[in-house]
Amino acid sequence: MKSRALVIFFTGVLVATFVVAGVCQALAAERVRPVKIGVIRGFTGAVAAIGAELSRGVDWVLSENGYEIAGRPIIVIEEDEGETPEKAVAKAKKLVEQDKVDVILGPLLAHSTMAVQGYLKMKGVPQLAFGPSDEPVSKHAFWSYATGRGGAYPGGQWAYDVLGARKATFIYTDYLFSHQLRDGFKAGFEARGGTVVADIPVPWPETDMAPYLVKIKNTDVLVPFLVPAAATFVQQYREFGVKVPVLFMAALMYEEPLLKALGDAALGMYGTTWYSAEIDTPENKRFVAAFKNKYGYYPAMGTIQGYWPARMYVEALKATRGNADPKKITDALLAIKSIDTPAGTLSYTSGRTAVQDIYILQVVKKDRYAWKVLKKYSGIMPR
Amino acid sequence: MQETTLHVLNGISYGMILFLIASGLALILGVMGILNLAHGSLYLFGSYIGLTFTGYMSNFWLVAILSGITVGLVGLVLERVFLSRLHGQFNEQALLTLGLVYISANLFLWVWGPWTKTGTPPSWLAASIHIGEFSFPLYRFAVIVIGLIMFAGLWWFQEKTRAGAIVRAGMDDKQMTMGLGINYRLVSSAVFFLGTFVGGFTGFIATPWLGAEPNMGFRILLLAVIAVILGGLGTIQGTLLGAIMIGLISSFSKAFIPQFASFIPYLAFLIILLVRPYGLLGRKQP
Repeated sequence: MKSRALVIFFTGVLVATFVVAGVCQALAAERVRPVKIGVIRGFTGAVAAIGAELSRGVDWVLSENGYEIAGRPIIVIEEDEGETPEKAVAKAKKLVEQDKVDVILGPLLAHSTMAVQGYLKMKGVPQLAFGPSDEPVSKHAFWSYATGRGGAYPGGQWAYDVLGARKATFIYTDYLFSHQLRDGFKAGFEARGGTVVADIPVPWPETDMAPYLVKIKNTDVLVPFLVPAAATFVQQYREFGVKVPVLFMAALMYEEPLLKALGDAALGMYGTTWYSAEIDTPENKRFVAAFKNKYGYYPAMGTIQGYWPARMYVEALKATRGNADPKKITDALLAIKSIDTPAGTLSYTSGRTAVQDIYILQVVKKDRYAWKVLKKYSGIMPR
Repeated sequence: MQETTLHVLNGISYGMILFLIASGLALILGVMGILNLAHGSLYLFGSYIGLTFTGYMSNFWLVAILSGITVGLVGLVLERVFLSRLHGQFNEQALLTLGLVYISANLFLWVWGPWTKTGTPPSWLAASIHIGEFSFPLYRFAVIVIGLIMFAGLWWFQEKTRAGAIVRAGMDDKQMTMGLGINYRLVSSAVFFLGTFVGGFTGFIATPWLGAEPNMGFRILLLAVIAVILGGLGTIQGTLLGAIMIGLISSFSKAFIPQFASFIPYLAFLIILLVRPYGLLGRKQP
């Protein structure tokens, strides 16, 4: 009698142990389930070069954290954004529906960013884009920039205050981002009292700048933003003997490899953007040294564009202790007061764009062709 | 007035580059009736391989000729191995050559990277001439001269040589030409080589101007096709005229109505074809 009861008791304990162990294991597996990050960046087309840098920026942040946050491993899946919104959205669908990613980092191009946002809003997946665009409408979308307009505004002010320009001419590749930059620069310039005398849109694939350069006259400053024509613009500007000073409303295309290829042709040109390897802060000096040591070249604006969204997401994931639920992540992102990055400080507004620092730069030749920092505008707000 | 002069010069020089690109295509399309959609990619290959050659030799013209020869050889392989099997089958030719466009774009991206590369003209042509308050690069004048020399050469070939006569005869009536005992296959391959040579040569000499970027092949092809058809198939004079017209229309529309400049050349093309369906100087094919 007694031994039978004992057998039942011990069997019960054994079964209970297995059940509890099984449940614990399931719970543990759930907690150690990796966080999947979908990255949409350029592999082909005019933005392929920046695409590689974006990837590197993301990798830098994740490597600093050992590809693990709060005990959860991080897996990155990359897809090509191409040059058109259709391609970017197709890739977003694949990442969300097939790969079941927890977040999308990217894309870069402003028009593709808006298109992908529309899709991700339906699905409720968080998105942190690599480039600026119009204000996000999805409550889970964050742009780590003071919008294209906000970022270009200080340039307009600087052109008036420091360059002494009273008349400006815009020349730009005709797409969404250029319009945003132009509107911001124009607002800053006109607020000081300047006037815009000419506005020259150039179709996206056009690389021959000759017909446009010939039209430039009666202006104090030339304000370009060109994508496929970035290289030929500088070369032909010199060939056609244009003397008007150049202030790129975003210096983004002119990373150091392109400056090197252009040689003396780009010397002295001004530009405005969010980063230069020459920024003189202890944080940046450390970053540049470590980066150069690891990869053999100086970090680029594109690297920072990859760095920012990755860094903000990692900070949010740490705050939620590894919980990748979209609502929790969004709340965590909004709760970040401000972070220090090699490019300066960054924080998100309630509208989910960012407050950041903008620099006015000039191409100089030191041990290499680089962007020297002339002035910093802190705490630039979105517009 | 100076501005108009500059626009005209820009238009003519741009038209000349188009003529150089289009003449290769005109030979192949007009002579052999082969639709080679990869012609723009062959041009681009000439740009890239030429830029690579400049790392090893400094003579600009030597590099240009070498680029032409390299691309010509590639063209020859393309014709012998692939296109000769698809005689008369336009759909298949289009598909094959279009596939090559995609393959080559990604190949260029892989080998030469995504950054746009620009070439530099030979130093004695790197100066600029002053026209009023502007400068006009001497190199663009040089391209006009090269275009005219090329035109003269091709016209002489077309009109004054036996080979040219064979080619013209073959265009009009291939069976008869072959029936007269002429080795038309040899002539076809030679013409294809010549056409792609010109494409590759032009690819290199256009690098200081248009740059080289992996995705531009198809756009170049489109402009060349328009120039060829606008001018009329069958004559090199037609191609020159078509190219210059497109060049001038592009130049002026970009200068005065930039928002519409991308499609004005196509619009002009449409209108002219409505009035003259065989092109400006085209002959009606029997």
